[in-house]
Amino acid sequence: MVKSLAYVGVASPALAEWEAFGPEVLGMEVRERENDDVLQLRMDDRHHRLAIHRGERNSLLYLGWDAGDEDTLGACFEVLQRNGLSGRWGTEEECQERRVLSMVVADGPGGIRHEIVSGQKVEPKTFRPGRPISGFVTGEEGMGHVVLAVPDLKEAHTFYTSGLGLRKSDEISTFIDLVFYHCNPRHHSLALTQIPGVRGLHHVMLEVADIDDVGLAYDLCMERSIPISMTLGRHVNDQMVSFYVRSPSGFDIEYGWGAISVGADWSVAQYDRPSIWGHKMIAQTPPGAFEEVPR
Amino acid sequence: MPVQFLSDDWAKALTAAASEHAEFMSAASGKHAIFELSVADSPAADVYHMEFSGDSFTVRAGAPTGDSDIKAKLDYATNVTISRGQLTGQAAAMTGRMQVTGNIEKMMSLGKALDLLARVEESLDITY
Ligand SMILES: [Fe+2]
Repeated sequence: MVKSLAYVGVASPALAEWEAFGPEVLGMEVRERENDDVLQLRMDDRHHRLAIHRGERNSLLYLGWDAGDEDTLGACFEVLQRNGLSGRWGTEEECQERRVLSMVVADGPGGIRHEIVSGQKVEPKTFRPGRPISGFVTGEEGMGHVVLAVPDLKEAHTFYTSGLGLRKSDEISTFIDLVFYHCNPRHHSLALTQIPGVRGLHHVMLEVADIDDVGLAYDLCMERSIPISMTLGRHVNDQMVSFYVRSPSGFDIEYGWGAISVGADWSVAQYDRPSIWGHKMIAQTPPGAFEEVPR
Repeated sequence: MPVQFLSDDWAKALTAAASEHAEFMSAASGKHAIFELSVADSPAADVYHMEFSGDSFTVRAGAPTGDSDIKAKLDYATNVTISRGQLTGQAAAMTGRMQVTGNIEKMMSLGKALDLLARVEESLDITY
């Protein structure tokens, strides 16, 4: 089924802020704008990984999942139909806008739009990071991971496992409950938490190849007084060393290094804390680009 | 006897009802936090606070005497919607209908207890 998280699209008024934050702090590359209302950011030779669409409010617009090839994409479409989940083929314009050859659009739990795609545009040897970094960990593991709020975990579990073919990695239960899912060696490409009546994006994780890339980004956030949401720490499950910074669009960016991979011998675990050390929540306002879901 | 929402009587009635609500008290158990709410257009108190002190829970009209850990701003209509259980406190905070600042970890750790408050309020006769 889906092979990796290909791209993420959000709406936000903060395009100008991203133009500095994306390259100068995170090391992403800003694509030359073809359109005043969309800012595209790159992490590797893929056309783009993150798109910020001009909008009045911060919200998650869509998630793109790479199906790998058109046969698998067709199989995804059939599985969605068979499971009674909505799905339709993307139009030529939609494919062109995302720079993919083909697309299936599915409305996920809470109304979150998922685009399952094949043939994302690649421009070999063109990626130029916005500041010197050793590079983002992408490839077969995709752009990183997203953590979403959904109104109902059970319903969401069915969509993401039966519909998209993700597999559960593990669960963390503290004052909030988190369920983690993988579709490639990356420990999780998706995690879900239940907030009744709410949908949206809590954070996007970007993994870098060297711990020093994390440290340098941490220094830059301090120097520029960019609010850190969670201090440096190491997660219990994927064992990633990371910190969380509030992006210009409300949701957090988790910037990390050193996560473990899942393999064929993986078995699901449960944990009662999110981190081995660190990750102190020091934000003064709640994170996220969330919306109410009509009940 | 009906009590006016956000009045002293409401605060006392809610404190008493919450203390007898087993599920709420179990969710609130071990939590230490002062949560101060400012309510625009309130016909009664325009500030009230909730104090979680480990094994007890108190609601009072007015600002707390000490520092609050979490401050929230919302309008009266939104607070009524939360009180009636049509919107959870967490959803209000996360979507910006209630603007929260302060110790977000504490706020999130109170989430389940705050969401149960609407169920506690169902047992009260509240005039909105
Ligand atoms: Fe994460």
